[in-house]
Amino acid sequence: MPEMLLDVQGVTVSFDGFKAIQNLSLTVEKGSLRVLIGPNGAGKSTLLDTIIGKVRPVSGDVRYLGQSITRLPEYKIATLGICRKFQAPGVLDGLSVRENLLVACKRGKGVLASFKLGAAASERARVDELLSLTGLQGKAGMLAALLAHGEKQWLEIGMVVAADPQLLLLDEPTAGMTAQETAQTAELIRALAGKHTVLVIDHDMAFVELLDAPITVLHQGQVFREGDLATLRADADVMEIYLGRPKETPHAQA
Amino acid sequence: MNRSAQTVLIGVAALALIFAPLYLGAYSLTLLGRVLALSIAAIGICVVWGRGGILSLGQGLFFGLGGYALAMHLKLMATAKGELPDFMVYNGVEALPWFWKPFVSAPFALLMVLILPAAAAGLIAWLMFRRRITGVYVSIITQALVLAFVTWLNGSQGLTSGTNGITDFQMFLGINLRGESVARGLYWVTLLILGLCLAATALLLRTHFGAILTAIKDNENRVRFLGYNPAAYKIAAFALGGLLSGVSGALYTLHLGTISPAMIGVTFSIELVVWVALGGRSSLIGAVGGLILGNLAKDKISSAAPDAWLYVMGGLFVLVVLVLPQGVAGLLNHRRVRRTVPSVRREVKEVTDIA
Ligand SMILES: Nc1ncnc2c1ncn2[C@@H]1O[C@H](COP(=O)(O)OP(=O)(O)OP(=O)(O)O)[C@@H](O)[C@H]1O
Ligand SMILES: [Mg+2]
Repeated sequence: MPEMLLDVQGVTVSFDGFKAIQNLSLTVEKGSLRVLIGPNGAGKSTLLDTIIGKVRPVSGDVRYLGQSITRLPEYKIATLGICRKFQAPGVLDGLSVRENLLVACKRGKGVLASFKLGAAASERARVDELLSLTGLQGKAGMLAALLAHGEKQWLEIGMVVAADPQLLLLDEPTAGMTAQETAQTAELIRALAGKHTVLVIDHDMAFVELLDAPITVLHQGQVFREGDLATLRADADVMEIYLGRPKETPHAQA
Repeated sequence: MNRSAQTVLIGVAALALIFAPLYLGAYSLTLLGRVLALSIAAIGICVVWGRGGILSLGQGLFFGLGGYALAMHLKLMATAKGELPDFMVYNGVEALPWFWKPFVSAPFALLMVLILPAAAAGLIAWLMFRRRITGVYVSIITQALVLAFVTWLNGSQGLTSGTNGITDFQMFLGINLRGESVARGLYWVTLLILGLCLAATALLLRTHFGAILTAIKDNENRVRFLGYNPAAYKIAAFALGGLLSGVSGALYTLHLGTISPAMIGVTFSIELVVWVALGGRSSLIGAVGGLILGNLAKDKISSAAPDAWLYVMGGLFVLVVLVLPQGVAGLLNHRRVRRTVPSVRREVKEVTDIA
């Protein structure tokens, strides 16, 4: 049996009585690539929020490498090797692109370890690697606030990958990207899978198709179907809730 | 303003300050020394607010702790052995309170000047940031705390001399504070300490710690989910801000020869913030310069037209909020202005959300 990296067991998340996620179970194998789709408000982002500890479930358990992480503080969950890209680009506006990546790839995250000037040679090398991975070499010295939307997405992907986490959670990584950028992102994510375990949320069917990975459909806070794209496209219920009235994506019309 | 122009300007200002005792009259020198002592608190505000995005309206609390720690020692030095400080006698206190006793020792008092404000700030920060209290709530809490401290001081006549404050100092470390050349010496010592605090803080802000502080101000969640514990960084920054305030308070007490609750209260705490805002809160030189020039101006204006002062300050604050969110330093440095616009907007939004 393949080793399970992430095991979400019967999780329910409630916002003032409204159940954004209901008794949801999901397992992700080590090294796999998994796509999560579902209509607006299906609970996709909330599921990621629950995994990283941003919201706490009222019942159920999130296990990572066999260990329950449901009650750990957020920064500890992150240091276990779970890193998430947010739906709205979450770069550090007041720092340069290089500094953003450096903050992300530092090993020691404690206050005492931070009283250091400059960066170690290994960290500099890692930052250079990430700059070329994300194609931002030319903008290393630029303030992150001044990047274009798509570039911010790439930078944040770079930051999420920086510390070499086992589990990457990517929430709509292609929002605001051109078709070409989307294709590049798909290629990048496929390259990351295997070495990392990747869970991607996206609305953009062209992108999901490029990823060519097993898909889980969420609907009203529950797992609705699992399968590959072709099977799901042939499924009338899925078409009804989701594919039948897809959310328009910026370049779907382009 | 480019880097070399900035270096020249700082160099000229430093020289002018170092040689000030040679060309300034007694009154002006005393005033300048006092203001320099005060400006050390501005360094702390620059770290805590300018870099960390935490607006404390209660820095007077830490300033006061540093000031009172030193004043207690000075008072005991000015009291004959075996006797009680004069205000305790007037208030019918019969024995020296336990927490006064160790302040007989100068090293202990000096240590307390550093430890008390830093520890108090650290503790308050721990209580606030562990619970993820942010924004205006922090401002309200810190303001309430300084108010509580001042109220306690005022009400505890026999322990703290109440509204009169502690005064009538004579000797410190074997030096007669009323001696002839003390003014110059004290001025230079103050300038030296200011220089050291500035250099050390500038260095600190250039480390990874400084980058993380900026990052937390921009997007605390992003930092948290990269595996950092933002609360720990904010506590460290706040404790440092408290420490610098305390040092400032102790030096200021030495300059003025007294410390009283009226000197450290809510108005004082807000005034500090206003000068830092006017000078430029995210620049060390801006913050310190704003405080020094602001206080020198205050001395001139309030002696010429005492009633006008509050209006002038209020007007300046409105000016800063509306047109100069990054102060004068921000005006001179475009990169900084751009980088902080979003965070200023966010702060304004927080305030309006609550209102
Ligand atoms: N902090 C919150 N407080 C209250 N309700 C929330 C909160 N976060 C999410 N919700 C609600 O929970 C539901 C699920 O939201 P979620 O963001 O997980 O959806 P999503 O599947 O990511 O949708 P989208 O495709 O629009 O990003 C929505 O109805 C949303 O309004
Ligand atoms: Mg979402």
